[in-house]
Order: sequence, then structure tokens, then C-alpha cells
Amino acid sequence: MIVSGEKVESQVVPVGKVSGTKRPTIGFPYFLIAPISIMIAWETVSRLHLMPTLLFPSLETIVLTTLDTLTGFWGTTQWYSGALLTHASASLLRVATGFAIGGSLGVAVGILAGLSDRMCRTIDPTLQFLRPVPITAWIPLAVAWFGIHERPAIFLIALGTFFATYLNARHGVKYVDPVLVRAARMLGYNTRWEVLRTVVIWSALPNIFTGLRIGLGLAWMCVVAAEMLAVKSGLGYMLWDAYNFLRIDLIITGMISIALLGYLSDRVLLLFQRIVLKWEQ
Amino acid sequence: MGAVSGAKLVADGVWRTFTTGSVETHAIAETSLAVFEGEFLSLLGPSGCGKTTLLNLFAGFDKPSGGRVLLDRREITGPGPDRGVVFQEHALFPWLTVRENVGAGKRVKAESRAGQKEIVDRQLELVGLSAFASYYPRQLSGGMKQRVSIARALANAPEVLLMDEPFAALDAITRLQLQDELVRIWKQTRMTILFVTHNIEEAVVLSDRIAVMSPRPGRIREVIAIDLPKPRDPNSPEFNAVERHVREVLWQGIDAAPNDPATL
Repeated sequence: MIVSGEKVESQVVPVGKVSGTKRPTIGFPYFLIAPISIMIAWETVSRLHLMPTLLFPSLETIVLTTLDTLTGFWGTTQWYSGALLTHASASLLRVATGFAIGGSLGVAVGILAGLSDRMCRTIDPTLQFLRPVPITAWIPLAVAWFGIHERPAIFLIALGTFFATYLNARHGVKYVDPVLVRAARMLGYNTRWEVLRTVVIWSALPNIFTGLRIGLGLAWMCVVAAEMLAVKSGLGYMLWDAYNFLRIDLIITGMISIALLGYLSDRVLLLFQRIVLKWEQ
Repeated sequence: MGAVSGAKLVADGVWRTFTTGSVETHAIAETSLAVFEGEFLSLLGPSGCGKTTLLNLFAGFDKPSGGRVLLDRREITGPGPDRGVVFQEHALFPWLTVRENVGAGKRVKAESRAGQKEIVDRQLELVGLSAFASYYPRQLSGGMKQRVSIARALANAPEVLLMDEPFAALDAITRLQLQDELVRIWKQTRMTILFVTHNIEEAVVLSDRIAVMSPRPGRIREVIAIDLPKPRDPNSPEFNAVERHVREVLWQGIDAAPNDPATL
């Protein structure tokens, strides 16, 4: 996460020259090439009936379906007409709740395990053993325990988030630069708590944020998996339901919605990270 | 030597061995040394002579295998704000600005807000970095970082300053500049300074006394007093005479040590 020092020191190079060369140029939008190519290919397949239209609905259909799920204007998506935001916010709320629980637990336990060797040896082997179990493999147990409801979904999301944040927080705390700890101690911060507060937390923060961002990505995976089986609302549920009625257009709408929400939530977290880790800019 | 009156820092029959597996390394053989109040004393020697080990004992980062280390006749049991340390790798907190780094010490924090500002401003002025108060360490050059590191240690009002090869990682010219600055700072503050270096000229430029160390096992070969006024002119015949003498003592120590490729 450490951004290497691009900043040229003002003493060395005249400031005017630096800002002159750094002025952003309006470049060719390369990022659009791939999506536009995919859309052209898709539309070609659809229009020329190279594949059944049922499997490759036209872009127009997908756009209209998406608009209908958003506005409910045409009613072409039956019970999903105008219901996209409801399902999206159901998923978002689950991700937020599960991420908050799993993330804070992961950071807290990770810091403890990073600080104390004994603590690490007590809990780390068990966690490392459980970590490779895919979240989908937890679904039957979660449903059996909590029923078809919010709780199994949130449990699964929290679990997924937990492992990622735990690992990164522990690593960050464990590999704090020992010279910085010495610096803190010679400045008068000698108790464990003082060293934790003045050095350890701060130097582990970049790692903690890395864990949180990975965890948030996993949370979106988990919410979709959980909603396919353990709840009866949300974008994951909508996806699976659309599959049952072979509404490919609706499936695409759901997938794009998940991508968008996942991307946007990561941007929000990144913004927060930039504010907190302002010394790395 | 024992606890001499006026001695700020005392190593009293100290020795230190490290054990790795079944191999015992004598980092420092039984050694005694006193650093007097207001004195600038350098530990000079080749790598592996135990000079950093000795400094770490004074800093409290390490404990002697035998003997005692004292500050103001009290035994040193761990690190503390009474002994400011300047590390070879600046060891500034990257998440704090220059101003926040200089004011990071526990003793500074105990002051009122206005008092803290006054202390930090004075130290920044002393090292000539007032204009960079709001910079983060990664935005500074190596020499500037080391100045901040000195300011941070001094701001915390230590009894003594321990400097562990603080200029070793700097380029030759920056190194000379910082040596000049350190002479000026020492003249201004009359701080008791223990300075570790492997650079002969640096030791002669800075020190009131030089403890020349020899390796395997690390021991103080000779303590050389330099009675030249500071700042010193490295081109003067007096300076050269001292430097020649220090070099001789250093080489005698290295030649006397058991042959080892590391010292050749």
C-alpha cells in the first residue's frame, strides 16, 4: 500500500517546472475499449441469432430491463419491476453489517495475536485450519443454526471479512519496525499500552486497511452466495430467481448492480484510507 | 574506573556475551568507561568491535552479562527519556509531521500546549528546519531526517544524548554539514554526548575524548583526549597530528586482534 515517493523536492527542481510537467493531459480513454468491444460482440451474437436470443438478449432489452427494475415503468420484470433499489439496499445493508462485525473482530483479534506470542500460538493454528474452508461450505451450517433469515447471511459475511482482516492486522502488528519501538521507548513510552498506542497501531494501519479492502471484496462475494441459499431478498436472491425463470437480461442487471456496488464501496473505503493514511500521499 | 564524581554515564566492569546455539560471542570484554557532564565522547572502532553494543547498554535496549551501567550513579535498567537516542536509520515516525515528531517525546507532551509549541519551535530553529515543520519524513532528504531525529531527542530534555552512527548512511558532503551542525549544537547546549562512529576524521572533528575500541573481543584500547578548540580545522597540523595518533592506536588494536577476514 506504500505509494513510492514521486514528489520531487522543491529545493532541487524549480517548482514551476514541476507543476508544468505534472499537468494532466486528456488521454485517450483506453478503459472504454474492452467494454465497448464486449458490447459489440454481444450485440452481434444477439442480432445475427448466432446463439438463442433467450441466452443472448439484445443490449436494448438489458437496458430496458434495468430501467424497469429501477423505475417500475413498464412492468416487464414482473415482481422485480421497480424493486432493484430495494434488493440492492438489502444486500448493501447486509454487507455493511457483516463487514462491520467481521472487520472489527478481525482487526481486534489480529492485533492481539500480533502483540502476544502466546495469544498467537493459542488461536492462530485453529484459525489457519478453518480459513481454507470456503464460505459456501459454511452455508448449510449457518442455515441450520440460524434458519432462512438475515442472521445466516450476516454470519457468513462477517466470517469472510474476519479472516482477511485478522491475517493482515496480525501481520502488520507483528512486523512493526523494532527501531520505531526503541524510539518510542527512549522517548518515555515504556509500557505495553503506550508502545501500542504510539507506534504499533500506527505502523500497522496500512496493513489493516489492506485487510479491510480485501475483506470488503470478500463480503460482496459472501453476500451473493448467502442470498442465493440463505435469504429471500437481495441481489444474490434476484440473480438466482432470474436464473430459475431464465431471464438472462435480469441476471445481467443483477451482476452489473453487484459490480457497481462493490466498486463504489471499495472507492469509499479507499477515500477513507487516504484520509487516515495521509502521510503516505 | 568506578563511579567518578562528575561522571554522567558510567560503565563499571561491563561485559556482554551473545549466545547463538552453542557459539558464544564476546561482544564486549570487561570494560569500564566514564562520560563526564558536558563532554562529547566518541566510541571509535571497526565494525564488530562492540561499540553499538556498548551504546545499547547505556540506552537500556540491552542488558550487560555482567557489571553495571549507570546514569548519575543510578543503575540503568531499561530505556528512558533521560537518555535521548539518535539512531543510524533516523527512526522518525512516518505518520507524524516534522513538528509532531519533534514534539513526540513523553516529557514534551507533559507540557502545556503553549509550552510544547515553544519547545518544538526552539528545537526546529536549532536544527534549521522551521520551514519544514509541516512536512512528513518521507518528503525530507536523509540529512534533514537526521536533523529532525536530533531535534526530537533534544526536545525531550534528556540528561545525555546517545548517537549511534547517526551520519553513516549520509553522503559525504551532507555528513560534513551535519558534523558542523552538531559541533554548533553541542557548543550551544553543552549536552553530554556519547557518539558511536567508525569514521576517524568524524571522531576527531567532534570529540573531546575518543575511546578507541578493538574487536574480538570488543574492548577499549585507549581513551584519547583532544584539547583543540571547536570548531576544528581538519587541515591544521594539530588536527592531523591527532588524527595520525588515533589512526595508529586503531590499527594497533586491529592488528592485535585475532585474524579475521572481516577486519582486513
